[in-house]
Amino acid sequence: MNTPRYAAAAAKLLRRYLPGATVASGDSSRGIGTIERAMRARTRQRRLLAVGASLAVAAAVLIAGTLLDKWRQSSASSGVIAINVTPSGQGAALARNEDEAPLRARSSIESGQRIETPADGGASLQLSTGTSMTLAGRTSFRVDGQGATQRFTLQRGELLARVAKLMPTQRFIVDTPDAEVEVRGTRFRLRVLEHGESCGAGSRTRLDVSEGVVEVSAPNQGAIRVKAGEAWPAGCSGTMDPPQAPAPSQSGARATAPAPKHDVRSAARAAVSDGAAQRTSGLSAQNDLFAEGVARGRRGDTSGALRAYQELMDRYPSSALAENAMVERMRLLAQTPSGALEASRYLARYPRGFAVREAKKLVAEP
Amino acid sequence: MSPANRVPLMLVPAAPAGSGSEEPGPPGLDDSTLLAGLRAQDASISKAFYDRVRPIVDRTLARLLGSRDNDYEDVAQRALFEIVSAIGRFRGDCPLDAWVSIVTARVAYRTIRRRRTERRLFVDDQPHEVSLVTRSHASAVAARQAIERVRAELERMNSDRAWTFLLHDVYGYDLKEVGQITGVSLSAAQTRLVRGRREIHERIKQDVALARFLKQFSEDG
Repeated sequence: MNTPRYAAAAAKLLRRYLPGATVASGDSSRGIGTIERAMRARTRQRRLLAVGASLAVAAAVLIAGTLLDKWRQSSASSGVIAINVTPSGQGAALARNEDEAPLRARSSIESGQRIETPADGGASLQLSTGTSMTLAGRTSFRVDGQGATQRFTLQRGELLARVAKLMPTQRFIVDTPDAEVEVRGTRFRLRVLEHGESCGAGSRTRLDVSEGVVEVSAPNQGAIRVKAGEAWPAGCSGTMDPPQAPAPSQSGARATAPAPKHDVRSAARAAVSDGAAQRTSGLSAQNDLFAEGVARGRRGDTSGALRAYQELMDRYPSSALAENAMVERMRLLAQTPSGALEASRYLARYPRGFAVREAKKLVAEP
Repeated sequence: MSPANRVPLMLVPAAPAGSGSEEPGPPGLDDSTLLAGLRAQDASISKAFYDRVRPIVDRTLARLLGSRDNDYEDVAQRALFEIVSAIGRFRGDCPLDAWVSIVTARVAYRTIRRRRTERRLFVDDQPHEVSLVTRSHASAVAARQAIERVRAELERMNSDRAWTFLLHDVYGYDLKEVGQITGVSLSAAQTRLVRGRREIHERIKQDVALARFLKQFSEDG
């Protein structure tokens, strides 16, 4: 970088005659005061920076959380929920208005479509939200909404539902001819009788809640919350237990047993894969035995319940419900010395079963 | 810029001068002690720090701003405030004197840039010094006139280039320091310097009398 001649000479001239540095220092007390003030300001600034950084981090976390939550809610509420339905037993029909066609395995069902099951038929519905429903025989079921509000109508018959946890913006409602049942994330059984009965003020709807809370709205009764172990209408729960509409001898299409979600799925899958009436009727019998165990257990008839579960395990050792029956036995015996033994048996038979943790706990802490 | 072309004049001498305000600090308090005390908000070192940096602030301001400037003391106080506020950024990779000088020059530069009515680039407020260092009255007058004409040319130049030329070639800041003072990158400072030198050269070449004087001045050494 060569300096042009005149520029270099000018710089030299200016340097030679620079103003001298003999400057009298100013007011020292003012200068010292300025330094102390700057020190205090620096402290404040550092504090403010620390507080600001903390606030910024907190705000960022809050905003991120809010956005994530909103995104989850919107993605959950904006999408249309897919519903797959598979027939069981003697099958079912898929109808829209007056058109009706046989229901095929893994059919997709949309709003406005109806499922009609014959006396010895049935169907299993699987929603993309994780909710599953099983329809019993002689049931008419319609899909009314697949959005944030999942709405269905049970015109007649019976369904067993296992509802996945709902987002705050989601609703799950089942209408019956004389009631509206809104779910709060639970497992329940809902049935519509052919005719009104003496109890329940003539209502044909019967609800039996096994887990969580279900809200029922009926004319002149307002909204009633039915909790786990309760039935609605009060005093009519006994009507749920007996077989409702006996099918031909082999089908025995009684109400679907309130089995856990994956049990229903497994049972449905088994029924679909086999597709044989013989196997289907076996499934009904399994359901009956399991339901009997549940009913007896609820009434306090522990030995009766244990017998029912044991019979199910003995007669149908390869059944999908056998594992559930064994787990129920284990739970009933949990408070007795036989609980650990039953848990050991379970672990030996189902080393990867769904209740392994519970069984291990029982074995470890009898 | 090669080392041979480095401007020998440093605004702040690398080695402390012998007397008076040139004293780097009170005995017993070296720079590291002062800086540690300052960072720890120790008010007791305020006076020692003031005594240490005030001479550097004054020298810098006297050259850039002029000691008779109306705002001199205010600018000096602002520079002191800025030095303490920015002390956290001083990493010790240059002498404290140089760093203080750069911070002060930056404050002075901003002050002058903010002025709308008066933007003096080169302060010649001590004309008596010319006579002290020149051999004769005639040459003193000639030198004084030449300085005035150079100053006038600098005033007419692009302000950024003129400042860069002054800071680098006259006051002895290196390009990195010029960039820090004027708030531009190293490459931008270099570009301004090259263009500023070329521009002042062309301007002086147009002034025959000034060109002749500078040629003679340069040859006389």
